[in-house]
Amino acid sequence: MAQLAVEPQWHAAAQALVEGLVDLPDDEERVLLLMQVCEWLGDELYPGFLRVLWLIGRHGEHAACAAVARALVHALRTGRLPGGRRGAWGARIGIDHAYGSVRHLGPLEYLCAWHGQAEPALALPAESFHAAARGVMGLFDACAEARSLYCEKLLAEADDPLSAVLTRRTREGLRALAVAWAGGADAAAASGRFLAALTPAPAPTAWLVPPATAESRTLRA
Amino acid sequence: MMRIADFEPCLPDGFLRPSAASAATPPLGWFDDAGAPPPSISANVAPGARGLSASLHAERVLALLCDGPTEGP
Repeated sequence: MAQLAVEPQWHAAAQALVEGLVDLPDDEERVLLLMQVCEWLGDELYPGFLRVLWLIGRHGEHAACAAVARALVHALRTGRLPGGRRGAWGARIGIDHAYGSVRHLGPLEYLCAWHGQAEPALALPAESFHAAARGVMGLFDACAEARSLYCEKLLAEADDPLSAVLTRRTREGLRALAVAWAGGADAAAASGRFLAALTPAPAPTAWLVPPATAESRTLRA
Repeated sequence: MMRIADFEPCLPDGFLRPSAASAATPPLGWFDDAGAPPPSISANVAPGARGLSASLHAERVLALLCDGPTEGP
């Protein structure tokens, strides 16, 4: 398993990944590169892969983002979008090895599951989710086909209650994000739709406690 | 007719919740833009990175992120 360096060179790694994707001669090789980086990092460092994608989406020139997006188109078409593994409901990663105990999630689905998980201490804060999602979506925005294909995949994930990875609310948020994104909303707005869908409605305390009447005051006395 | 999704609230609490992120220490600050903006990432290929295989390109990326030998799983 890979160990993260004490001072990882994130920016240089993002540059090296883009160089590889530009240099390789065909889509099959490009997808292989993405998958190898992802696999060699392993489950624990999958967020590191997301950070590399985020850096490219955030600081990459259009041609650099487009090179990644074109590779992602082929990955989406062939069902090999580089993903991270998360445990399904009730399963424990590394302990349960039964079929279906872990699921692969693509970059955005992983971020959604990370933010929407129940343990607040381990959840990705809303600000970080917003920043990460915008960066990753920025990559897909560099290629209309990549964006369109990914929106279709996200909607399919949102409509699949059997995957056992995303809670119902997270799936609703994912659907809101995908519908907005597919409808032309920019990354910030679509990411905001996800967060809004997960924000609980304020408790209607005003009408839960009835105002005291003269009769109830008499009874209490 | 009841759908699978309708059963979700009936499951024991632990089953409602996907397991925690696999990372032992979630890097919560990884997506925060702090400090001076880094130089932009270009689509130019450095001379030393030309003509490599996918595996060698992957090793190049991993060597910048990880300690020790970077080999496949």
